[in-house]
Amino acid sequence: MKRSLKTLSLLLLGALLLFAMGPASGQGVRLVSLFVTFGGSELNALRQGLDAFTSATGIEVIVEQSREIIPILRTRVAGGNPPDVALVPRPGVVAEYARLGAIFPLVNADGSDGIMSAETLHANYSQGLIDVGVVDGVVYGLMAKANSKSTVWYKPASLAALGFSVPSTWDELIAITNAYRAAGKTPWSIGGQDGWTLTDWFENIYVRVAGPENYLRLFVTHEIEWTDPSVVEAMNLFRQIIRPEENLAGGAEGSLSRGFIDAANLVFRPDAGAELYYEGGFIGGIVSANFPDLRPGEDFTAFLFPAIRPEYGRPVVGGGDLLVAYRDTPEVREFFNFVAGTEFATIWAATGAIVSPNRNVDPSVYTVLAALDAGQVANAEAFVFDGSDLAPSALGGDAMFTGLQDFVSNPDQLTEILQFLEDVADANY
Amino acid sequence: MKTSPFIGWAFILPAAVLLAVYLLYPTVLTIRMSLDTGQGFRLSEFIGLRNFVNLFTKDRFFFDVSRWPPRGALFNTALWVALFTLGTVGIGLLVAVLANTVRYEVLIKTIIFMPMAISFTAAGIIWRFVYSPDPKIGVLNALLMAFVPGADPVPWLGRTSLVNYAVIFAGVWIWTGFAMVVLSAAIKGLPKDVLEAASIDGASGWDTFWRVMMPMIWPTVVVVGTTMIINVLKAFDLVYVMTQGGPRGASRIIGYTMYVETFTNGRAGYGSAVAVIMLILIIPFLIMNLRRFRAEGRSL
Amino acid sequence: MTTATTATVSAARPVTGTLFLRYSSRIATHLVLVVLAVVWLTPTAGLLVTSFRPLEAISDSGWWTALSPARFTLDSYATVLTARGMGRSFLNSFIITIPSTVLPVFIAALAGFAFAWIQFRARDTILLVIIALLTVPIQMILVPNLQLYSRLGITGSFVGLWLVHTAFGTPFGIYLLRNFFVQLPRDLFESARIDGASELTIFFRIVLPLSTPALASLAIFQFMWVWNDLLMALVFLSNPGRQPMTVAISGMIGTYGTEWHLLSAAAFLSMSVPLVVFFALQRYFVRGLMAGSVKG
Repeated sequence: MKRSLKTLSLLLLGALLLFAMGPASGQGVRLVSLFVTFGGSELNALRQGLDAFTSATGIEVIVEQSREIIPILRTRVAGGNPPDVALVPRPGVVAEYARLGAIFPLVNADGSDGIMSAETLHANYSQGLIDVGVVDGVVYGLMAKANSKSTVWYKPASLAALGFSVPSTWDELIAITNAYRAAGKTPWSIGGQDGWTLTDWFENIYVRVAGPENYLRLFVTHEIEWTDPSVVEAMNLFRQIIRPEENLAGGAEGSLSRGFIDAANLVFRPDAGAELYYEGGFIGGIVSANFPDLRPGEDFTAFLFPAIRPEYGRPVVGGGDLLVAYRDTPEVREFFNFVAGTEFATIWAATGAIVSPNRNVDPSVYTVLAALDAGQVANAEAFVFDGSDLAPSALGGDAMFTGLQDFVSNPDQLTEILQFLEDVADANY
Repeated sequence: MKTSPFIGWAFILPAAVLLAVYLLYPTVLTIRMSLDTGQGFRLSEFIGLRNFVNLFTKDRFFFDVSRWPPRGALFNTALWVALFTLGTVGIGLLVAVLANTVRYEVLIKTIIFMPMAISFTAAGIIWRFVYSPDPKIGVLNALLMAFVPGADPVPWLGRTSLVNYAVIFAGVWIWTGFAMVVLSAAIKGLPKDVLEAASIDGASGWDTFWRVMMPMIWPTVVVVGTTMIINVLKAFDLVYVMTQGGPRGASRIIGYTMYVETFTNGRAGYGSAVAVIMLILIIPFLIMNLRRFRAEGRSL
Repeated sequence: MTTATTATVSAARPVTGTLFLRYSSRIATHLVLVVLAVVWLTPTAGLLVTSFRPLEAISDSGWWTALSPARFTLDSYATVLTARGMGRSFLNSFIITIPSTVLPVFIAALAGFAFAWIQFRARDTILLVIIALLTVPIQMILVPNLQLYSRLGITGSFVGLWLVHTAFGTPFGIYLLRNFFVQLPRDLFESARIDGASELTIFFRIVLPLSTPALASLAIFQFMWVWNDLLMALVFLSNPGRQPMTVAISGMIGTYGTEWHLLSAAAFLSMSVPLVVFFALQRYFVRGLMAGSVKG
């Protein structure tokens, strides 16, 4: 009995070993490995485009996925085992890899073809969107999906009942805020436990106060310091939202202990706890998944973040994912040229999962919610990338998150907070 | 002992080789890296102790003594070491001893053990539900409102003075099962006749526990306690999924700092310096263990 | 805890005047255990109920109100179970976990025995170094090991992952087992050595059989940690055909991690395996160390 058990386990171990040592993958098959940050239905949508690539070229795409894409990529790149291609959500990280020599130029500084055809790139993308992936004059990242982060979500019925229409200026937005409060309702829900919701607020205000050029000088080059009067002015405008505390569901403390999903749910659930919610275009998809009874575009929808200074209008702050190449193989080259083309972009956009920055995608392919998001991106007076993703990670992550969380909980400390951010910026550029 | 001097080495050889390659070598690299900027995980610029100096003078998330009480990841870790270790070992011991005497032993042990089998991601979700500031979602606030009329909901994870205790409790919830299983194994291993003898001698249960049982399982208590402390020193998952170190950096612990600096911010040198501090912090507990080995050695 | 020992002997001893005391301590025991059970179960129960609720219910009300109105669905479980590659990844989880549990337990037992019962030079120093290695955070070993694997050409293989898990689990195993082994009665070893038994025989015939509770607890923890590991699988296995369940589950989650219904259902499916292992090993936890082995 004992002996047979031993033999059995030995056999089992042997079988496992054989199994585990087996060939890694089919030989002779043409492959591209792709690392992305999203899974689920978003990944299934991407697969539709990838299938088109496989049937057009015979190259198979192996998709790996993790929401912790930045840490995993850092580890695997340093360990010598990167994927061929990755879809990276932070331009700041793309720049870091470009300077380390870990990724290949897509289009060279002199405009000649690198991994991909310069012609295809320019035929499908506007210069503004190409620039997001440029590091030191060389195109390293291809913006494959985009989204607006300038959407203020609201309930048309509630706004109409208050006697207001969609605001186009900051003063109107504050008037609505005050009117809600006067009517005994809580105007805003904020999910400040996720610090990036607060940086998104700040970025939208700042680009409207200082303009897109100064925005880049603050986040990308740090030519503007965090103690600059323009930053102070933007923060003081944000203060009009977060004070008095009755503006916020749960006050300052409640706002800082709530994640961004809870904050959205609070506005759109049957017995709502607030009336307005500012976050990106992706909130539409989350709300309609969480509340299938609500009709998108009618029961809930979004307006473009209102203008503050007439000369700067309403620029769109946006996010997006950049495709970068860790290896230069013929398969990777074919992949980039296909993904940059109109066919791939159209298939992917038609799933409703993303907004394509490709200008040749017909807007009629989008779903109601995606069209709202796509419309803002396509019609943007100016498009600037999410500043906290442009800044070095140490500044754009925890430092800005905590700085703004500090501000929500105690706006009187503005001077100290900005000095802290300036110190961090000083150490990281 | 008259065994060959090499036989001991032969027994530890597989472990020694494995640990040298997989743990010791990377540790040495980490120590070296802590003296460097570590751009892209490569040695790129030797900067001496600057990372350490910056940690203690410029990083208010790590070490901030400008206010009372002092704040930062280092002090939060100290709080964790005290409360988490006490909680897991204390409750684990309580359950291990008490469950031994009841008929539903397996049931109660399973209940306490269960959280250990839940992934950190899922544990993070469930505790964010428990602690939600919204009494419609958060069970803790729902209970508070039900039993204390007129009370305001408490933002457990949103208040800097509460957040550490809230996260530590979730940690105790997860890890008590560990302490319970190991301590229970030790109690089951006690020779029955000794306990019975003590009991027949007329010692009360309380006395039997402190005078007879506790000294016998003390080495195991030390092992579990040390393991828990080490756990705290390198813990980051729970903070990562529950609070991301917030609000306002108030729930950062050193394991979290190490992870964020190294992998999110890409500063391998700085993160390595934090890892070296972890190694230094364990030294007092090593000395405690060494004393115990020496004591056991004498009795051998 | 007063009852820890009295329960076992009360039958053999006439009940005396401390009857009241005994009953009240008995009640206190039950009370403490029940309160702990309720506190411990509440979050788990919340997760369980959540896993059966549709996303819209999760979003607008607490799980304890799930019965009014009753909104339950098995959809989340169906989605998880039928997700792309889930069956294969379930199998992969076993392929990864079983060797990664057996190997470190065995290697740690060998070393733990030597540290406890064999005298050799620098023994305590080496043991201290090993305990110090317990503090090494897993993230710190990834890059050097990955570089090593790239050089050896074994990136992406199961073997590579087994060895990392084994190395990472071994220090704790040695520390735990050495502590248990050292408590075995000394005369056992002496009489065996006098009888001429080799150290290997002592290890297999005496140490291992007498230490089943410790070996079983180590095995269950190592099993669970490897089973729930996501990070190492993501770093060391790049082939999706080899991904374990944790990777497959995280693959169902979108950019913003909003799929709470799927995560809670997946959590229960995934934790059921370690729980089965826990039950299976339960009898080893209960069996007394000394029972029937060395009484003489």
